[in-house]
Amino acid sequence: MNTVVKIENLVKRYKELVAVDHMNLSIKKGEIFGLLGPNGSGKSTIINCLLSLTEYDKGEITVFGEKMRADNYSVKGRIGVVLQNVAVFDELTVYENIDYFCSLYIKDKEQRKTLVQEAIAFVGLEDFTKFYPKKLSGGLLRRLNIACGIAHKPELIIFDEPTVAIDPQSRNKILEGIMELNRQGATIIYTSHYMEEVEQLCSRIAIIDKGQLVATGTKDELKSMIQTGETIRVEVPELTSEALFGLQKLSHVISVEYNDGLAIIKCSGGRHNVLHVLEYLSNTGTSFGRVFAEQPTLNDVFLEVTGKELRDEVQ
Amino acid sequence: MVHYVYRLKRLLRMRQLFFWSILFPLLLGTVFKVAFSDATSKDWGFVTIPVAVVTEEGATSEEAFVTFLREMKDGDTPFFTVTESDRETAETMLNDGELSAVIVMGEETKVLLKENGLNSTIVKTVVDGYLQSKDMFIEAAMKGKLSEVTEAFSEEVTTLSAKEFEGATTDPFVQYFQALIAMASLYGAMYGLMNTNELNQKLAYVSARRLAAPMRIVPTVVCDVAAAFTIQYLQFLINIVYFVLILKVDFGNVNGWLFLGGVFYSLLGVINGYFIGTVVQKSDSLQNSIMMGTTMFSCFLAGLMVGNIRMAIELTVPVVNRINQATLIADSLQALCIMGDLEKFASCIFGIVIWCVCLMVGSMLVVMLRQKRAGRSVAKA
Repeated sequence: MNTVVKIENLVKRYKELVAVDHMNLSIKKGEIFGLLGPNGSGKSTIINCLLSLTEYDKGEITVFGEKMRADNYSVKGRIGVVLQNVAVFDELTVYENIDYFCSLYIKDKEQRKTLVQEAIAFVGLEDFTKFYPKKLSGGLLRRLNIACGIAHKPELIIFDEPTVAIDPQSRNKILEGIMELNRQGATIIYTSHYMEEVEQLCSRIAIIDKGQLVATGTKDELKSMIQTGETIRVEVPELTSEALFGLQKLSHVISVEYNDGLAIIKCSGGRHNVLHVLEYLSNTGTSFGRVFAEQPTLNDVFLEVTGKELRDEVQ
Repeated sequence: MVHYVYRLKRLLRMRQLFFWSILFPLLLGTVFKVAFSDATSKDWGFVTIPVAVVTEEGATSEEAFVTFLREMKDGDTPFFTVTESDRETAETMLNDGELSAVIVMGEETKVLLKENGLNSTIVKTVVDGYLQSKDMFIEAAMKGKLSEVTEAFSEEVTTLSAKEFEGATTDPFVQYFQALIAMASLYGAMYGLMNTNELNQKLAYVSARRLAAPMRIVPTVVCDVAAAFTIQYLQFLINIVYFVLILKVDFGNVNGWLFLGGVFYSLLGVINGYFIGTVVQKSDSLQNSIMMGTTMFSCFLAGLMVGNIRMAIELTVPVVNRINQATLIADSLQALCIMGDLEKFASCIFGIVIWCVCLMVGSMLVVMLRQKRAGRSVAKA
């Protein structure tokens, strides 16, 4: 696969704060590449550097094989941007906004007309073309924001937290749209602090914390990097200390916590962990209720490599 | 072109800007008209001109000349109030604005003037006329027929002056409307400021989207300026039409020049905004405060609040009037409307053009330097 974006040794400082710390990333053609990290981890700064919207202190960014600069118009013309904040003009209607932003890339009026109609249909805003942005709901605004960024059919589309503060229905619509754009051939860079979205959407993921690249790979590769392989939750009304000790002694069990009638057993790799746990509880005469077994999440990955919860950071 | 059209649409749909740049001057103009309605409805006919006669060595027939000046009348109104004085005192009075002219009689007769205008032209016409027919006036005086001769000459001067100032108005309250037009024109800075901010990523999200696109900065700025200028000039036309046709303010018959002036006034306002927006890369509110503050101060110095302040500045620190933007606009209007002086009008417009060029070049340089610096930084890294 061809490399679409290559970031080498990127450093960006804001006075004393190092926002991006020697970042190296390589994004291949056709990927949906996720940048996952808590707020303030440096995701948007990386995007701003990538788009030459901000200066950086060190490193090199190559897009489509060319060095990215503010005046590299040929490269800019192949990129679409959907930024975190809705960036449209309040005084223009939905149609006019999309047409205006498309005109920054496409000069031919007839071609633009077709592209604008396609973008409107793609985001499902057919019934709102004459509406002004202030009359749109949050979800519809986000869709307009996306349409403005993709109408010119870019080869590389950057989505910077496009689903912040919107309803689940609009979120699903947006995520489906991103997958469709990828199916149509666009390479996607998707930044988010919602791990479920990244997990659902991205073929490769980079986990970022405090401006540093913590880990990168497919979701399975990331999960295989950590010790926790499976988390088993068992409703146990009463668990004796002997039984608790016994659970900890089972093979592949890393840790056991017991609080408010719920035993949380973390296991590394191994097979039939649930069977072994339930067998042990039965043998010791411990009664139990419902049982849940979960594969590790990206939050577990984040927790293990950074020592803190991704969710907590989001809050 | 697409950019220009959408820019124009957006500016026309911005209600707040529409109010400040178009409705507010109309409202203020209406208030002026109501406040000054009694004064402006008076017949602003001929007003007696204060002059001093200084007699120096070599002067002849000065008594006849002073009598001649005192005999000159427009109906019952004397042309002149004549003070006989020494040169030093007369020049001080001229500089203090107590006199319109000093006539120095010596071997040659000279006329000292503070500034050009209707009064100055009348004085010069009368003195030249007297000198050309001096013998005739002396003889008439000796025969006791000076009154008859000066009456005929007075009529001639009145007619000549009327022709000289055809199309010019003598309504002194027009100056408030001049300052008002200056204010409305300088409010064009709001459009310029908005244009700049939409190219400043730190102040507008939408600018990040535009800057991420393959958008060349110079054509974009030109389109933005063109759209802002279009709206601002439209505002100027609306103001003039409203003042002249609805409020019946007498701007004289020099509308062609007035509309040409409007082009430069509008440009100056818009470019002011560009400059502030480019140099002051801070919050919207700070930029707006600076813009409003400088505009209102400039208009204050041009006489928007205190009618005779321009004259006071002219007598004390005239350089302020040469560089103050609102005064340049108001003076150019005064040159057209009150003095009918196209030379002074052109001089004021030249001053405005100099301002426009300096501010525009300054703004463009700052923008391009910032872009280059960003590019250099990235390349260096």
